[in-house]
Formats: sequence, C-alpha cells, structure tokens
Amino acid sequence: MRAFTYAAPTDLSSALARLGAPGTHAVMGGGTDLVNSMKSYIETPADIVDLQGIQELQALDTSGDPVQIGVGVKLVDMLASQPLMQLFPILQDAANVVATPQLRNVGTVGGNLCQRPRCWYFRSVDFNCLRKGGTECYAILGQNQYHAILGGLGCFIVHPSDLAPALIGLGAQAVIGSASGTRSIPLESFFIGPEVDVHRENVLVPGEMLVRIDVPRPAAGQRGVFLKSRGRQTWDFATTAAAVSLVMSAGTCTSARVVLGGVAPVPWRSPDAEAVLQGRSITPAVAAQAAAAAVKLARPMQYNAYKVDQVQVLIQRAILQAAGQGGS
Amino acid sequence: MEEGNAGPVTETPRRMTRRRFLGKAATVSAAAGAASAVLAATSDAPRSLAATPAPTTVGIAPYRPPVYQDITLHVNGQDYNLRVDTRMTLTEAIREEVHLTGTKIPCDQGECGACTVIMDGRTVYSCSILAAAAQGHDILTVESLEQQGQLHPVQAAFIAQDAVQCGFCTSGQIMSVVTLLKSNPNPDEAAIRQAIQGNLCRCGTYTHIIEAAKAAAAQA
Repeated sequence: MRAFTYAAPTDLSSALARLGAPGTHAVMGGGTDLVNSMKSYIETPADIVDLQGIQELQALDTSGDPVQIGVGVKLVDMLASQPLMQLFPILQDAANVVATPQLRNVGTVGGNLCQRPRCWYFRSVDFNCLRKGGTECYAILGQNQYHAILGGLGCFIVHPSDLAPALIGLGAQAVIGSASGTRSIPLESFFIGPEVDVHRENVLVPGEMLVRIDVPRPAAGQRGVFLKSRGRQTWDFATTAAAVSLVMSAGTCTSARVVLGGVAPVPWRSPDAEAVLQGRSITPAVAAQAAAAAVKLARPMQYNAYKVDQVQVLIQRAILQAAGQGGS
Repeated sequence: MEEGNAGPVTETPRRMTRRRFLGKAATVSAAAGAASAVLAATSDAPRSLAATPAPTTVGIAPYRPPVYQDITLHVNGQDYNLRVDTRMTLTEAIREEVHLTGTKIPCDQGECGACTVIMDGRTVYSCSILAAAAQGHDILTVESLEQQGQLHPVQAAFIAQDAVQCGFCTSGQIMSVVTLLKSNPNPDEAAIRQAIQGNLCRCGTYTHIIEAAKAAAAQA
C-alpha cells in the first residue's frame, strides 16, 4: 500500500468538495475491494474519503417513484428491506449471491457497482497489463477461462458486479455527484468498455462519485429473475449470469430486458435477445431463440467457450421463470 | 506491504525479486513462439483506445511519507487509543497494537475468513477494513468469548466435536457460528452452512464444524 491521508466527512458536500480538490482521491464505501486493491498497488490514491459517516448516502426510500437507493446502503441492509425485496425480487436474487456474509455485511451498493475487475493478470502485481498502463493483455494467450466472450477489445476483463445486470434490467438510473452538482444517466451508460477507455470501467472522472441509484417502480405484470453460475456454490464471482426483466400482458411479452454478467467488460445488455421476446408469447422455443440471439456475436478464446453454452442456459431459464413458467 | 517509516526517497511499488522474475519469465516464454504475431497485433492496437493517461503503476513512484493518525478502537469492551499508520488494517491493529493474536491473517485479502471479527453484531473481515475506518464501532474478537475461565459453548463444542485440525481458520469459524446462534438459536444445517460460507477450512473440517455448531445450539 502507498501512504494516504484519510478523512471520514459526515456530509456529502464536504465529501464532494474534498474529491474536487487537486490530488488523487478514492471514495471508500465498505472498503473491501479498495483496501485489497491498494495492497496490490492497483489503486494508489493519496487521499481516501470514507463515506460511512454520511447519512444521506445510506438512505433507502421505497415510497416514491423512482425508488431511491443510496450508494452507501450495505448489501445486508438492502436484503433486509422487505419493501424493496417485494418490489424487486430480482435484487434479492442478485444481492443474495454476492460473496459471503462478511462481505455483504460491509459491502455497499456503490462499492459493488464500482468494484474493479477480477482478472487475475490485472490483480497480480507481477503483470503490468494493458488496463494497468502496460502494453498487452495477458489473458489473450494466457489462462482465459474466466474472461470475456463479448465486447473484449484489447482487454478481456468481465465486469464482476452481480447487482449491475439486475439493476440495468430494472431500467435503473445512476445519479453522479461532484462539487458542481449532480447528473443522472441510465445505469447501462455508466459502464464503459475498453473501446472507450481501457483504464477504467465507468464514466466517472476525478472529482465525481456515484451518489444514488434510482429504480423506476415496476409496471403491472413486470417480473425479473437473476441467475448466476459459478465455479463453487458460494463465495465466487459469476462465470456467467443473466438478468431478465419482462412485462407480461395477457400472455404476451410487451417489454423485455436481457442483461448478462460475467461475459463482457461491461454488464452486457442484449437488444437482439430483447427483440426476439418483444410482442411474443413466451415458450421454451422463443426463450432458446432469444438466448441464441444474445450470443450471436460471441467470440470465445481458448478456454472460455463453455461460457457461450452456459449463459444461454441461464438466459433461457431466466426468461421462462420471469414469464411465470417456473421450472429450472 | 508496509513501507518503512524513514525509508529512502524513492519506492518501487513492484519490487522485482529473483523469484518473481523467474516466475514471470516462465509465463512469458510459455506463451511465446507461435503467438508472437498475435501479441504484436494486440499490443499495438489498444494503445490508441486510451482516453485517459495510463495509470502510473510501473517504475519508481515518487516517495510518499507515511501518514499517522490518532484513533480510538473499541475492542472487547475496552477503548484503545492508538497512533496508527493510515494504511494499517483492523487485523494488524488488533494483533500488533492491541496484542490480541487470536485473529489470524492467512490471506490478507478477504478470501479466507480467518480474520473474522464481530463489528456492531455482524461478522466482518478485519483484514479488509482500515483500522481508521473501524473507529466508533463495537469490535469483538475471539478473546471476548471466554468468561471467567469458562469457554464459550461454541468454543467448548469445537473441542468436543474435534472441529480443529491445523487451527488457523478456527477463530474465524467460531466468530461466524457465535454470530449465527445469536440471531438463530436453533439453526438447521442449511443455515449453518450459510453462516460459515465465508470461512474457508483447507483441512476440510467442515462436517465437524457443522456438528460443533449443532452441539452448541443444542446446549444453549
């Protein structure tokens, strides 16, 4: 770890003012990713702004439209919010399978969305990879069983968040704050792939931070499902994941969102799969067609072709479950 | 990991040791050969993609002096006034400053669970929390369990059920089981498995740990 100054402001405007000052800053939610990233010199901020004392970032307001989730809300508290879980069972699917009790007890919504990728070349101090400012991606010719099959360009990380696909499936907005005010963008545009900038995973620039996630109240007949595959049954990142949110009306799908995790450098929304579902009654054949459309452009590498099959199975199951056709 | 107090005027974040050099050289040579053409193509193309300047993780970074901070940690019911390097983790503070060494540091990256302590009634990985950030929280370590020479029922059950082999994960496992039994005095096996999912045991003593948790629940 490189040395840093530490501050725990108690109001958001002080935190944003500190972030806007010259120097390299990092905001810290639960710190579970940041602290360990600093140990391996992936993050080397000179100043840490700890958000745990800022009450307004921990607010969870389910009464209005949109539902507002502060970035400081811990995953354990999110799961404990009955109103939120009843409104959006898909968030329960996703938050329940994040890491372990110890990590959910401190990890926050904002931290989950802004965590750095798990690529072992990126995480290792022994590899100065493209994302860390080096000149090559070691996964291309290396051990790439957990890497991207879609959207990789020069760098083949996968985005590690489970919450992100579920929230994008719900049409969430990301509220970004800085010393000069706030702006709101669709959460799917919050994440950026290597084709935009290979050194970061989201649009945040120095001085900015995520402050809130806004989720529109569910439409009548809306139902979402999140499914995750992983190497072991607990405490693991997704090899692949699928978030499907459908609005069903009289047996017909009137609106669909299909968002994948573990397959691309960003939470991967698939308009092709959504187009297959739109206006159709959902059958196993339609679900299979949508799943095939989602991976049409997949380009697996030497060791990750299994993801193409695995994610299709998850997409099909999630579509059928979201359409109320149960099964597994 | 820690940098010296009165270190030299430069520091290298990625110290190249002989072992690291050999390890890396082996990886690179294994991937070389037929692959060189692809490497050349991939290493050139992405550079133009960079919209922000590359982070400076290579080479010699400018020296940054350590920052010390006065903090108060509330551990096992007692306040400890400490002056710590801001980089110090809660595990390090508990072990090196408070001198309670029951909390272990096998992985030091939130992947094993042996550093589990209870913070405000919930289990946490103390290796992944800065000591400075643990101020104002109520922290319990495994040393808090024994009362007047009497082992906590969970500790006694771990011994009775032979739930220990090498013992490195044990204090973390015990803290997870103690926390579970506080909220759920009669857990079924699924609840026990859920509670210890964040504690690895590389000796594979899980079945005995689960038996110990059941025995402690039955006793309470």
